[in-house]
Amino acid sequence: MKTSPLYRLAVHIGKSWRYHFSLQLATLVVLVASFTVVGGVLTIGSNLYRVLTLWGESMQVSVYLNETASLDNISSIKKFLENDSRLEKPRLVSKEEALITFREQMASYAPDLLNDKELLRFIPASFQFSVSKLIAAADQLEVMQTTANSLKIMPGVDEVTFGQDWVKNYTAFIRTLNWGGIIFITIIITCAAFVMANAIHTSVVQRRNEIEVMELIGATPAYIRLPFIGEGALLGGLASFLAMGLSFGLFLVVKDYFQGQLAFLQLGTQIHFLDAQVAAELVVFGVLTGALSAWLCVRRINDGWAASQSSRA
Amino acid sequence: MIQFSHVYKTYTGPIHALKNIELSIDKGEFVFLTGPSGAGKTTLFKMLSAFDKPTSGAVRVSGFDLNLITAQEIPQFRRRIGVIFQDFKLLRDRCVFENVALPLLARGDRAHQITRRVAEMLEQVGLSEKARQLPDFISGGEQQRTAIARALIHQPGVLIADEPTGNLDPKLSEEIMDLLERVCAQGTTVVVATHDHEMVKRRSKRTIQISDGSIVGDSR
Repeated sequence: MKTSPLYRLAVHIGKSWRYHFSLQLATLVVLVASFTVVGGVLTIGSNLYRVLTLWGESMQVSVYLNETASLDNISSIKKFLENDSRLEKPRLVSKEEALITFREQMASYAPDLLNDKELLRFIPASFQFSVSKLIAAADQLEVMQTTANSLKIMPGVDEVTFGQDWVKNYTAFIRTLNWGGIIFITIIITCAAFVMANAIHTSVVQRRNEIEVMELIGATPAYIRLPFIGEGALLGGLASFLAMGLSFGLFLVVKDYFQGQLAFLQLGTQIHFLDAQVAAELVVFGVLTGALSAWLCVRRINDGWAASQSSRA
Repeated sequence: MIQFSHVYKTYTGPIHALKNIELSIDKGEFVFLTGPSGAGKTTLFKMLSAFDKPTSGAVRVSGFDLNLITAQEIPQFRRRIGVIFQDFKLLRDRCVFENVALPLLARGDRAHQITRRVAEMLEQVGLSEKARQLPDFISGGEQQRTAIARALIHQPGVLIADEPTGNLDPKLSEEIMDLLERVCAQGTTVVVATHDHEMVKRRSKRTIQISDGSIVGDSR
């Protein structure tokens, strides 16, 4: 006589598949498809985020100094920038250095500028810095904005620029991407949960008689519900596990396409599949979603009076 | 062992299923509950087995006040009683042995204890040879004996049988009643609902008659 909960769960799931094979298979296919979409969205999102973050890292803030800036002023500004842990690479660019850079950049466009002796007067010295990589891309604008506001009122500062419009658009895009992804994944997961709940509900209806008998013999609610919750958890876990495999397969195909047909974009080497940890978390999430939707489905199937409700005649 | 005090049960309609039921059954008693269909026997049985609550009045069974019983306590209460139905309520996809073992499995008994106890019980009801048969492959009498074995396996103080011979021929019905009498002789309180008046007369046991939701006779 086998009494272990795992054996009971295996028998329970075996019966569900035997009695409703088509429904169980359709449910599994829909769930695998749903979790594959989730995996795909996360993969695309993480790669897009990675690329955008690389762009974000190259964003520089320029603090232009006015003509009257004293050495003390410059020292204070430098100290201020170095003491802020959210910032990195504060660097003083002298007028001469700025002029050299300017001339190098403009040489091919305006060769006459190379001989303009007065140009030095118009190019200011500046501090250049970027925001730390530890700051999330979506939060970089705020860091730049607050830092710029503080710098603007410091003596010796003429102007602070960091491509505000571009950064605003960039930040808004990152935020939209985050929220869009969260909303999209939530919708997909909610639909998947409903599909799982439907499969569990069918399983409950199929076992109405068994549930009544179990109540009759003094089985506790937990004892009756656990196989259903286990069934939901296994369905969710299996679906998300298969979906990770399918997502990875699709990723390899797409990556191969980028490396072959769209080699000029040079994206083949830069795109990556989800981290192993994220993929594992997604499988765990599938297990939890399955268990939760099953629990929601069975939490009231046997409150001690269920058999009375269905047998009252 | 069983106590009903001024019990009323009204369903929406209103349908007065039970009206002022006053009833007391002692430990080890064998009681027939008779009455026509719709008299209230099944409602009374649902009260006895905690499948329904009275609209008013008090019901006490095996030390449990069924008016105050909580959902968490119901499984504990059900382990103190055994219930048998006319339609047996066996699980069709499990063999006789597994059906009888269910209460012990639900209670969390160990495998070897379950095996031993079920074998004893099947011996007692004469079904040892049918242990591995599915319910659909045994006779109605054997199915009812399986249901009785399942109701008794956890040694309940009260056995409640709702028309246990309703689907059986006279010979099998007598066999089942003999079995229930033997169970009673071992100290279990047995309450049997039936409308087989001939059988009730032959058995000479305490008989409570119900009609239109009220007790109209008690041979005590």
